[in-house]
Amino acid sequence: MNTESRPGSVVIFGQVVLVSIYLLIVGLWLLIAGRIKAEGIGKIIRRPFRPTYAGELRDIRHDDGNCWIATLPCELLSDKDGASRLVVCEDDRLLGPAHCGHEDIREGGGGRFSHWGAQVYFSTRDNSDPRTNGRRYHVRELT
Amino acid sequence: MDKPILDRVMPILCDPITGASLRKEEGQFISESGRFPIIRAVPRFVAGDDYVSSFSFEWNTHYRTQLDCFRSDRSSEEQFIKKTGFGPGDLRGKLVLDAGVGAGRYTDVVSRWGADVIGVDLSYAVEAAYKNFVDRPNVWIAQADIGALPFKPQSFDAIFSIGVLHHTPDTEAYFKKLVPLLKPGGSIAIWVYPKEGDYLIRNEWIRFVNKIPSHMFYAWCRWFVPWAQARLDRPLVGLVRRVFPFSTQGLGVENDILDTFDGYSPKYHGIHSPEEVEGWFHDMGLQQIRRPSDWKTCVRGIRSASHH
Repeated sequence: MNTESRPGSVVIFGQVVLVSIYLLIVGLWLLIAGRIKAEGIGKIIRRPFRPTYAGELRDIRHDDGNCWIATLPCELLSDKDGASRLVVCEDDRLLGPAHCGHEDIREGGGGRFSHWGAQVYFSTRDNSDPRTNGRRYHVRELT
Repeated sequence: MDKPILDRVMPILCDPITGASLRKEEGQFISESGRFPIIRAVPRFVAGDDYVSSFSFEWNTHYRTQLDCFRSDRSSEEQFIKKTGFGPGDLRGKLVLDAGVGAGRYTDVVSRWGADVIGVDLSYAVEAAYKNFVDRPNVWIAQADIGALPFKPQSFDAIFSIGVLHHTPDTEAYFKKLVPLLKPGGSIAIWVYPKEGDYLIRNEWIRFVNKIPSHMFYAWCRWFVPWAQARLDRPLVGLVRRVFPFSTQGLGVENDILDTFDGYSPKYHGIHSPEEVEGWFHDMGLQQIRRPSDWKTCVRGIRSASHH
């Protein structure tokens, strides 16, 4: 096997473009034919045409351990759809890290959160009860 | 100069078609029925790399990427223990077959544990493996087909085949070719792709992607994987990842380029349920069948000591 001779950058660029076009066509066909499911695709297409969401977390309920759950509008892109752009704030301070596993939130708390489907799984910074600690919990979508 | 392991290899070598014993003579292995050349120090029991040319390409390009001895970590060792349940004490001094050696990531582990390891591969990955183990006296590499291996029955104390058999034309049939090579009481451990998650999605893609020439798809992976990994928080990349799962194993971008190429380029891509795999072990009369970890399609079994 000779792996010493490398094609030039123009050739590589051409190969990358060709393969990208081919894979795009195949991918679209697989989606249209229903061979691959991508439930979030409609949300991603609609995202640039709707206002950025911001709102209070209401009807908070306890999940388990340090984890609390609140319901969000279902049209928001969540980690279930690929990548949530949501930030959660405790008063004026950002909570985090985001995109955490739910078990990690339940055990670790400390502000970890996850936006999954139409719900946000979150913990407070000091693992207190967000319904009684007197702080305000709100979310906003990053553009 | 021959390696010491050859003393253990010669008695078990045979013509893969007729089963006749082989002798080494003038740069080749000879039986009454055939001749098998040694080319660039590697014995060849096949004429070419048949349906696995993508593996010839990837392992000669990434011949060091996944080997612990070059990475200076234990990522492959940890994965080997998880996927096989074998530990260092289980294989020390044993004669072990690595069926589908690739560049030798697991042969590296097992030979450092003190086993004598024979690594076979249908692809020209054997060139990479030979280069990686040229100084290791307890490793012997050969180019051969798992469907027609040049070894006599009941030759090995242990056999493992991790992430290989699903790339053959018939996963079950090729697994069943390995079992007779075990000594009574010997262990076999395999991992094949599960019929779930990203493997199901890749199964839809593969017949289209494996038509792309290896060097072109590889060039694309070299561009795409780092590009996408730098944008994992973007919704569009998140969607792409669900439609076209690419590797983010946390073992470095070179590993992820290799793994993405590896996942989409082979000709054959079998996917199997754990029950199906365990059924093959039962069919072959193996005993103490178990799954060594939460990798559901990792299965291990022992050949009965009274097996004939």
